[in-house]
Amino acid sequence: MRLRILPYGVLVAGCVFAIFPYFLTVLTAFKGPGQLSQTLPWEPGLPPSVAAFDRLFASGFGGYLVNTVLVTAGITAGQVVFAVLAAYSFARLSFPGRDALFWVYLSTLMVPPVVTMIPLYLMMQKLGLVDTWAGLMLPTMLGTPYAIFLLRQFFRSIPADLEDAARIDGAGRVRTLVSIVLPLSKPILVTVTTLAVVANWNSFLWPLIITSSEDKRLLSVGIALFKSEIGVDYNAVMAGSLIALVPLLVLFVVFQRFIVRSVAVTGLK
Amino acid sequence: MSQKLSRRTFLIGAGSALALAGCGSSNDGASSGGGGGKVELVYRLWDEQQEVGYKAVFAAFTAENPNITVRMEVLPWDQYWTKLTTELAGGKAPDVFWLTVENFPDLAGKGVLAPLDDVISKAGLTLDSYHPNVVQSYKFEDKQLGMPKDLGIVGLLYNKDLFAKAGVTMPAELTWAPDGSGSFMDLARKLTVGDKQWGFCSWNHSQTQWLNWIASNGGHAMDKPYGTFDFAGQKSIEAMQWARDLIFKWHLSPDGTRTNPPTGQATEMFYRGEVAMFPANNALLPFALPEVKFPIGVAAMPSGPSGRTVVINGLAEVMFAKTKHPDEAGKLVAFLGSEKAQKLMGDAGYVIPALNDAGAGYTAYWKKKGIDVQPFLDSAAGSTVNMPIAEGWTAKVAEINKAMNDLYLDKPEVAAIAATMDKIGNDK
Repeated sequence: MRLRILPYGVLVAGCVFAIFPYFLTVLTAFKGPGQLSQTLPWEPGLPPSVAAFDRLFASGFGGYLVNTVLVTAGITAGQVVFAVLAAYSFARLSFPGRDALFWVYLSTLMVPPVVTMIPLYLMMQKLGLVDTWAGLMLPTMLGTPYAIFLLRQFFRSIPADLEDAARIDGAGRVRTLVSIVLPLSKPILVTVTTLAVVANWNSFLWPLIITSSEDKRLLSVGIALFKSEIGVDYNAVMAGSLIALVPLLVLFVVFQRFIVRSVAVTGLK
Repeated sequence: MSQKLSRRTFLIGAGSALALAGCGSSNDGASSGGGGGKVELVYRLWDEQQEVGYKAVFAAFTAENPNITVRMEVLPWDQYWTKLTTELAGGKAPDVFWLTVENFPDLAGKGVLAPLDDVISKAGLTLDSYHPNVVQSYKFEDKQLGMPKDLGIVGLLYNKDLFAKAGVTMPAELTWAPDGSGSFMDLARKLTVGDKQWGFCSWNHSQTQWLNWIASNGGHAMDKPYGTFDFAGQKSIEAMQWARDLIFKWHLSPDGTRTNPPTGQATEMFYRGEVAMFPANNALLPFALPEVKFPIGVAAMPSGPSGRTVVINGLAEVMFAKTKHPDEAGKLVAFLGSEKAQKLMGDAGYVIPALNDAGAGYTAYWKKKGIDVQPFLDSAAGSTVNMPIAEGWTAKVAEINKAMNDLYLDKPEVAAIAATMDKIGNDK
């Protein structure tokens, strides 16, 4: 009995620790004017107020939300499609320098994005893409090393015999990929998609640098606007964070099973 | 078993990727002129509240200059500088944008800010009409690189409820001295209740705290703009020691374990009614008002052994040296410096205009909200001192402010802290 209490105790403590920031987010988002400084952080503001949400939407937050959904969907779709094609090539096609190319590409994971930001900005400027949707989306739309790595490892673990059988039945490369490989790769595809959605949804620095007009502004930048030189409107920041959080939460709850499974599966060789 | 990727397939792929990259519209972003001689200028700022005010200003500007429209870009305060730096590395920037005293030195020497002397004289304006400290802050090698916009001035906010409860009133003049004498400390004593309520909050904030004490004690943080730091001078050390004594010797203020940045707790304590008197920049008022449950009073800062000298922190609008529309941007800058534009912003209660004698509307606005802000304006008209600036300042100022955290803890010696700060500031 004691042995069971201890691990559960640790798990519950860990849970509380992990949930606490979100708990504070919810409480702070619903505090009205003056309640933030008059109450303790973990004390609810009574009566609850939606004033922060009013300020948020008065600042054009609804439009930013729509932009973020569209941009996230666009970039994610691009990343998944191109990553599948690239990963399959790295896993199954043979061409000169394939593995070298793969490792070189993978090594770009080690370069922090901050380092490439200014050169990337200059490239976009030369292409005339500053403050355009294309400039916002293209640099990351053509796949990411991490997604390609995950997919390649998974594709390699699929028995080649299955693909050979398809080939004997007359399927070409594309048909094999679409009809045999992809259906077997659902868990990893869900994982890669989820990771892409989360990364693009939260993306901040690049959208900030490359876009300027308000009609192309994203959520993350819209929330940061409530942090001014003099002070921070914590209520509005938390209200915005709460709204930004909900879609990710839904995504995780729906696909949780797949995500856990794919991480477990990729561990096997 | 596998096909080779032919060179031709590869080239087709690469070609289509490039074609895709070329798809975006080639809008240059920074400034785009439409047809028919119409010009759109980009004006960048970081304050969402003031954005509302500037809509009226730019409507008035376009009424006078029908061919020029202004598009505002509001950015978050922290990221304003990240984005500006990246853009300047790419050789572009908004046509006209805001600048602070702290960030001025990093840009002034790089040739990215257009000299405004011609713009100012051509528009029939004269720099003598603006607050001299704000004018001085944006001067570099005898060229005026910034149009004085507004000024932030430090005053003493106080909690009128706590004053009433203690049965005291705010006198017209408060005094302090390093030895602990003066009416300011007597008042703070009456407003301190055990360790629940503090008469004052002595905390690490350069603009509203220690720079004022140093100046009012007859010392100086720096001998001249881009000069030498002198925190270790005797007058400076006395003033810093006094700031520490308020906490540890006379127990009139919470200590640095609670108030040291980056917590932001000092301001919160005033909002909660735990601190009776709290020095602040006038720009804090719009943020403080919705957060407090007591009436706020405003008084002038206490005057020290060499009188009252208050820190002033002015903003300026600057013009990008390589703007595509120098004539139009010049007209905009001149308009922003005009009485009409400055009064529009002042009358709506956003800022105290940098233009002399244009603050009446600001006072009237806050009077309607029940706050007499005249002490702020009087202080601005009295003896004022600029925040120090030096080459590479944005990196140094963060280090200096961090070193000052120790003053509000009971160690080490004040002289040692001052020496550290001088070293950071004077190192090349």
